[in-house]
Amino acid sequence: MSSPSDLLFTDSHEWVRIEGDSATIGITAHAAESLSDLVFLDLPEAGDDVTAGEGFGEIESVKAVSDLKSPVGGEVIEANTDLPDNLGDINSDPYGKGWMIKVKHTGTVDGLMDAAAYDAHVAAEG
Amino acid sequence: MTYVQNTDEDRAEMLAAIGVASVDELMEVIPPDCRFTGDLGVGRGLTEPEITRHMRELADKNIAPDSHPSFLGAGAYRHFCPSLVDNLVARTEFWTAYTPYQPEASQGTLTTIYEFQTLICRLTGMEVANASVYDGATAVIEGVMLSLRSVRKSNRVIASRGLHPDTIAVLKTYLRHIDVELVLIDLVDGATPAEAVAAVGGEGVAAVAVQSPNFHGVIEDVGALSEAAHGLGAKSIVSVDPISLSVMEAPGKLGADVVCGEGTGMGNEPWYGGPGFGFLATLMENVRQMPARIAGETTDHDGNRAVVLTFQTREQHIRRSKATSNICTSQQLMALRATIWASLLGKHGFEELGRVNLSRAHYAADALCKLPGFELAFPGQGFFKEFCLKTPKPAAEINAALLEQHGIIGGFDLGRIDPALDHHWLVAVTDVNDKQEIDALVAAVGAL
Repeated sequence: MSSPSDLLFTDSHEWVRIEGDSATIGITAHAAESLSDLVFLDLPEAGDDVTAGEGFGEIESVKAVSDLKSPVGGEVIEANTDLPDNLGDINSDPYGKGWMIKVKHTGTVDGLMDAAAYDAHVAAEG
Repeated sequence: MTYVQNTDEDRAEMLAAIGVASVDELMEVIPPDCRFTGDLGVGRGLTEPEITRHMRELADKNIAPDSHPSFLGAGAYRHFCPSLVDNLVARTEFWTAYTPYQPEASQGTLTTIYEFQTLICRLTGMEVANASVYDGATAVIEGVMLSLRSVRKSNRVIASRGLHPDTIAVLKTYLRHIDVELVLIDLVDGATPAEAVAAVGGEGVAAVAVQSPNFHGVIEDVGALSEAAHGLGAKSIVSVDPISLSVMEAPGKLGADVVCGEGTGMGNEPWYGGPGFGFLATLMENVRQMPARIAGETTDHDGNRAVVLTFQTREQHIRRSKATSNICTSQQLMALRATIWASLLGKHGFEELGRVNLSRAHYAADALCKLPGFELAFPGQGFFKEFCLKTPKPAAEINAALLEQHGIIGGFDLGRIDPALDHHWLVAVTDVNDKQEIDALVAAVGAL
């Protein structure tokens, strides 16, 4: 399955949709599938700062607790507050209803992969 | 197999392997003036009957709470413990706290943890408890760390000086290397003023930690202190003597978010300072920040009741450096003693035990305060089983005279904590001190 071509990706399986200075962030279909049954999601609040490459929240499945790493730095302008109560959306619609935060990003966006590179990364991870 | 494995042959073999002729030659690298060449002075070897007698003679020199009347508490208390507790915990199934890497194979151990947690929740008025931590001080600190994780952008902690001095010391140790400010609140008339907590003000306060009854025996206004904590956006952490919950309101009903404490009094003895156990309980909203092990109830694939270790995904062996705590075990045997102890006493027995402590302590305080120069240090404050007296001469002198002249272990000399309080004497009276012992104490103090 190929990833959406309008998104950029981290090697830790987050996606980001850049629209001007707005960046919408979530986790990939591959990540959601690997985590399996999700039980808990902790997101930052609007107004919090996030740093590229550092954690912005955590996601817990029956298997593991994982940090969510931000692909970009900036200020959180909106968090998907409905999502912690509808974790199934992350599995069923990871690039749509499964979005997690919107960030007003500052600085350059770099070190991210396009869809083809990310799919190759997933294939290489096995 | 030989019992002593380090035989002459073993030593010869080891020396040959490293190419030296003797043990003395092996030691030649140590400069001669650093080597001890005299007689160690430990005497000749003793036979088993001789060494047994020698050890008994040494042990008989001990003046201990189980051989002499004792009114020493200050955090470690003796209470009645049915001998059945010793008998049941000696079952071999309980000899290790550890569960296999698939802990669910140990349904018996997990069930005892679950029962312990249920007991702690019922006593404290909380919604979830863990399987125990090392001791009362650790429990308070883990409550503070839990609050720092739960309260967003928090970097300050308020703690009452009424906490046990050891707890404050451990708290300072924990907070020293993380970027968190510790604000200590002085006691006024033996208690923590809620106004002083509220007056700290500002942002980023994670928790307000108090102890009730506090180190001076004073029962704190947990309701007002919890309200002050919530006014700052902080969690209210209350460290309690679990025995006091027999006659006092559960802190959970007074607004506490975390209730914790030292559990030794329940089915364990102070022994030589331990081992004891700490208990830690909180509300479900904080469950994901709860450190250490939690046993949870579920059903197996046949629909039978089963117990699991839940939230293991947040523990150190899985989450490594991101774990909620470096604690991933429990004081299992001590907590089990407490569980068996409580089930043997039952609800009514526990309440009766509490009333006995309360009435004997108050009887002792009344009698001691009739002696010239003795008075309650905080007459306006309530106490449970321990109280602070002002004394006409230094508490250290009173203790020394009681021990030498009467074989009585006196109360705690508060001058050891603060030289300004050298005329303050913390006296603990529990159910193990009968009326005869109390009367003997009063007579002895009166005769000094």
